[in-house]
Amino acid sequence: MSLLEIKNLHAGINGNDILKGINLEVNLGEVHAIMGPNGSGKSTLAGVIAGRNEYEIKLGQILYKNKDLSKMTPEERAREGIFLAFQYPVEIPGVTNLYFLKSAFNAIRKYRGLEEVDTLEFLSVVRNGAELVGLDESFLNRPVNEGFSGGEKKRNEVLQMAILQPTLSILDETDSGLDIDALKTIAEGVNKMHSDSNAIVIVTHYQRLLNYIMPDYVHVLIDGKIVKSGDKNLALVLEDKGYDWLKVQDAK
Amino acid sequence: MRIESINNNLFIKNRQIVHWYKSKFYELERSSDGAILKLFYNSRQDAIEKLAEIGFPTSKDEEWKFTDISPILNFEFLLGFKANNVILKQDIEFAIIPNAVNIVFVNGIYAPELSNLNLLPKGVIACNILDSIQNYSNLIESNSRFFEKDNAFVQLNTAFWQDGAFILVQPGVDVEVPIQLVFVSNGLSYPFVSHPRNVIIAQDSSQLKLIETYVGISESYYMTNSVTKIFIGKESHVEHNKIQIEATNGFHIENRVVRLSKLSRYAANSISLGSSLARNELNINIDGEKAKCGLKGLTIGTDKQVLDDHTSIIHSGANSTSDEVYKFILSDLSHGIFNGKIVVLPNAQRTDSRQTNRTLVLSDDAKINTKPQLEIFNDDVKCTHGATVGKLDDDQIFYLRSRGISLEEAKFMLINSFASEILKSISNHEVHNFAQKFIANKLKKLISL
Repeated sequence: MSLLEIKNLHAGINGNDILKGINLEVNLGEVHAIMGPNGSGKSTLAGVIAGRNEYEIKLGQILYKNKDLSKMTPEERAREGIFLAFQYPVEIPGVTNLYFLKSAFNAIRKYRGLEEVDTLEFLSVVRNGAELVGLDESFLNRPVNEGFSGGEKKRNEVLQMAILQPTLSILDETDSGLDIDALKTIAEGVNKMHSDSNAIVIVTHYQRLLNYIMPDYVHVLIDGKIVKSGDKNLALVLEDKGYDWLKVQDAK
Repeated sequence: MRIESINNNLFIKNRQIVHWYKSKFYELERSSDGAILKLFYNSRQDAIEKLAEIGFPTSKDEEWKFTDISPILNFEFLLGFKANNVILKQDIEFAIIPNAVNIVFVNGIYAPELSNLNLLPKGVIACNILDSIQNYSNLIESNSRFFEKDNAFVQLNTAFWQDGAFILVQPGVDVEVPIQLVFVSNGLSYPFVSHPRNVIIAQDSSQLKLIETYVGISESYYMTNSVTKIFIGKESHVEHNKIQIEATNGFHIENRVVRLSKLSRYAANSISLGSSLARNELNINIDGEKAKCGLKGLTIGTDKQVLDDHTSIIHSGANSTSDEVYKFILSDLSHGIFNGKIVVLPNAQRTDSRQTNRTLVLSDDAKINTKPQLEIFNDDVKCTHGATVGKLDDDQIFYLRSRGISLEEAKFMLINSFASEILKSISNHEVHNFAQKFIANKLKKLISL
């Protein structure tokens, strides 16, 4: 049984078709990269998996642990181990990062039949994670993502991943807006978390992040379809030749 | 005792009920319960005659344009003092702030057996007006009268008031322990009203933390119609938190007048949660130089509640500051009204005044009427005001849910964070927790958590 199985997925927003027949299979222990030009549907695919309700699934199926994802709320998906690192993490003024992280951590523990932890216990969990992604502890008492730099927001996303220990992580353009040092730190963090009991899908425009997190598979998404799949070397070809040659091939 | 009038004409209803109150006044005067009216009789009589003359406000009255008080005029509210009040301490425990001085009134009458004055420090007098009238008659009368305007509910209170709180903080005294006034409306078999009359005086260089709590444990309809006068002496600091958690069958009317002397500070937090119709009218007079006033409000409406916050700040002292933030959270069919008047008089140079009204609307049928009203008679001032109305942010909700937090919990977190700004200004820990408990309960009900 594969962890994630997407079959002929057609989805869109406000009547516009964006995904036009996606097929993808992700197994435990694997790292997949989904690459493609702007507007090809990468973020839509990530959003559909996480359960953004503005997207409408028109045809096809997404199975996660053999269950139909479309019947699950976003929070049920999260509790079942799906995690989306947002391309644009949302600012929530008035809610502290600590309160937010603890609420999420406990919601998931509760679902898994584990006891909820108090703030003191949670602090030790969060400190380990913060160190992993290189975030200063002071950010815990700041409102969620408010006033965070682009890099801090992305580190905060990966911190949440470290805390929630998802089975399937989707990193949506996590490398955008990061300088090279931040990129390395985050990549190291992700690599440490990766194991045979989880899987990672990296959605990215550039191959830069893939220098640090080695994908087992690379898929090229153009105009709502996966037009080519390969191993990590495909990413290097894309870096060299861009996406145009695939668009031509697709047209033929 | 609903008026079974075939004629639904509001004007006639208004006249009828006004004259009913007037006849009750003279009836009471003649009865054995009327002794209380001898206290300040002239002002009482003036008030009932004034009420008969002006009537209750209607929607044609600019100050009452959005607040329809006809539900109140449907009732002939009798005074509730004749109740055989069998309230036990445990019945009102939920409304009592621990580690504080608690002065309890039931249906407008002081209830010593429910009050707790053990923690009252030296240098402050805190009791009911009737018990202090002999010693402080002049102070009470002068402070009780310093502001009477053409407001029907103030007239009604002035005519009928039975008792209320009297607090006098002597010069230089810093009262650490919060003083809580608890106004309980306790069930009777008929519609009843209480008219608390409070006089609060913080003499020069003193400090006071005052809490007003209004609760109802009544099955029948009732009204609370309070009038509170607060005088803040030079360099004094009063923090005033009001938590209105009346029952759903209660009507709540408050008229508050505050005077600030030179270099004094007044910080008020008004939390309006209960009753079917509430009108909080705050009239702040910044008379002294360099005085500072902070007004914060949190009003949460559900069902068909009508919740009105009317504030007026008059700057007449130079270099004075006012900072006002009122927040509304409205769901179901509730209706919020905010009217924020700021007046800067010619002598009030270098006034710094800020006003914000923010509303979170959670349903299609809830509505807010917001009206800033700036009257500035001086060039050398800094005045800003702004009003925003918004809904919950879908992206924020999705972000929280994508981390495993339920939809209800996500909404609670966001609404609570909107509300928390007001709670933050309550300095005392016990008072803060007390207010937070009622706010959280109301929010949980609102999102059916």
